[in-house]
Amino acid sequence: MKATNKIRRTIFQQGLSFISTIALALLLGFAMLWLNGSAPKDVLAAAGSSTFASSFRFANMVSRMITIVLVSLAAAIPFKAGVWNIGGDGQLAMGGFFAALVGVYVTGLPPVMHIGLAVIAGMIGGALWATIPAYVRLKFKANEIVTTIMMNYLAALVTGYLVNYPFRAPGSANAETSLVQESAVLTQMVPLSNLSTGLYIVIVMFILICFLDWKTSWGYEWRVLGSNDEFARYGGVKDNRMRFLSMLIGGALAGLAGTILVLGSYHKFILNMGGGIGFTGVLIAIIAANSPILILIVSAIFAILSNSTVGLEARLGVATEFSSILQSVIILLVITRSNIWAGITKLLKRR
Amino acid sequence: METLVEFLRASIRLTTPLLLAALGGAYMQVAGVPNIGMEGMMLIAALVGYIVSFTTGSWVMGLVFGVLAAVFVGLIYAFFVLRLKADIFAIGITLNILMGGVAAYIIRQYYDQISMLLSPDAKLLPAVSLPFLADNKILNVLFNNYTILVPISFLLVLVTFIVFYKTPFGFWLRAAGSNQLAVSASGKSINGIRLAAFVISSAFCGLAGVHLSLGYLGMFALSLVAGRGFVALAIVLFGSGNPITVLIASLIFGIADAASLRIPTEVIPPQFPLMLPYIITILAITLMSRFARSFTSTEQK
Repeated sequence: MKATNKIRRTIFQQGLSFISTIALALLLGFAMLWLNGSAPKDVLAAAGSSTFASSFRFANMVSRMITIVLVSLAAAIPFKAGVWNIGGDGQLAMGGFFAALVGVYVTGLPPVMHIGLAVIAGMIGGALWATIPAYVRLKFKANEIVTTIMMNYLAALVTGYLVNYPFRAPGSANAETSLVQESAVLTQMVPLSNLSTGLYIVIVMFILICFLDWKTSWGYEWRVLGSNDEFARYGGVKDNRMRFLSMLIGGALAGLAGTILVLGSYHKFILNMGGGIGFTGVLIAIIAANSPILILIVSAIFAILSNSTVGLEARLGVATEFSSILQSVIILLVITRSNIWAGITKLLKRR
Repeated sequence: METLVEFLRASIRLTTPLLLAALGGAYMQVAGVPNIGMEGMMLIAALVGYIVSFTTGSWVMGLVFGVLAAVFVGLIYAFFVLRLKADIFAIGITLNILMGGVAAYIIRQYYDQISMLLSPDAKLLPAVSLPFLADNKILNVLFNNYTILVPISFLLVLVTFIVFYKTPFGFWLRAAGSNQLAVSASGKSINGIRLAAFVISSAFCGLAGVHLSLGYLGMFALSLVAGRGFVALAIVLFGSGNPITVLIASLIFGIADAASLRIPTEVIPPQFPLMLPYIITILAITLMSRFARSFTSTEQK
């Protein structure tokens, strides 16, 4: 009984320091904007209204959030097993492209089957793109930080070729495919917003991942591998196979993120539609310590942040790029939060 | 013949940014702290160098401040890794993203540009020549009229080799990476040695970044570094930080880079040649990992 109380207290303390560190980072953000000449009151009003003023804006935030959740999980699952997957961007692009192919060129299916097929194609596309770095990492010990990043650049070039030449929408001035068939479109949930019924797919997938993580032997084996691979091997965990699997699942999740962007938000594949969100996913996975629940919380905060900067730009002339700076600052502070709070308590005690 | 010479010349020019960054990466690699933040250091140095050059009208100032900007990032990196004991990979990747954000923010907020900066006032790095080679046509094309950092980058290979293997500092640097117990036992501070590695490494990346904006392109673009920081990381890993291997690997990548820009786009779509450096990186790191002592990031955790 006492032991569980103690565990509960540490979890509470961890949570408290996590939340208060993020609050600290946000205060720092306000301070930075203040120095730049925007009063905190205006910042708060502009930021708040850009997410919470209408259901349309809120829906766009949720749409952004589900993409972030997926790419974060895509990094977190391999992380658990002790492999870095920084290739979320490439996997998202390939997944989105595969889904678009099925969406555009497969005809005559009822919506449920068409969407199902496109989703599967998208997840396979993402997983395939993760196969190469996973294979060379496990077979040849090729550093996966380097290879997954190279795969991102390759994915941008490969899809760039595909949508500029063979699959370019006829008559389009942009590098994009044609619109997907109506039967492959995920229904809009809020008029004019980016949020589609893809939300439900993500919720199901999220629950599935939580289940995998907490209730199955896979989840256990990943955790053992990530924390102590010597012990894991000794205990009979097939380490390479589990790591490979974790990369494939990661790739499939990033592919799903691309799929939902294609079927739900844009209804076509657009070159570089991910906009480097995969990196954000890696960072979130790091600070959320790969916990799905924390990933959910941090993704919400990041989605609100990136939404808010749209309002800040329109009203106060702060460039939207500010949000990526603030996000990185949050991450640096959260990674080192125990040192920061120890330092602050020391300062207070000295008084 | 002439096209071959031109091609070699382009290869040498493209080798320089990789060589500079990878040599810098080697200083940290041998000290046991792999530099994952090279991409961000190069980007910020390229931006600051360019901005300072066109505001002050002096390439020397651009070079100095570009390098200082990269060193500043290196000091932040060192503070988080050495002082706060944070994970070197996590901080490195975060710093890369942070620098991408800072660069995008600066050109957007202060110069109202979306992806690039181009100013007629920018003073670019000057070209240098050896007059006695100017008489021979081929040698003249091959070895003369490079911007100043190109010959310097090749000189720095020699300097790095001497520092690593012929000086006490190099001895301690390598010891901090391979035999920490001996370093602590002899009363030297591992963190002190590694801090020096961070500073030198980031300064080299700073040179690489300034070369890209003020030497190679003559402008700044957010896509200017384009993964070169990570290609440089791959180069460092091949030879476990040996400067000679770094030179050879950088030349190979420089040639691949040059080839990717010179394959005529009427024959094949431009995306394919551009894939070359990335494919070669993956192939090379895969093949070399079998021979080289590869560091496996996550197993250390």
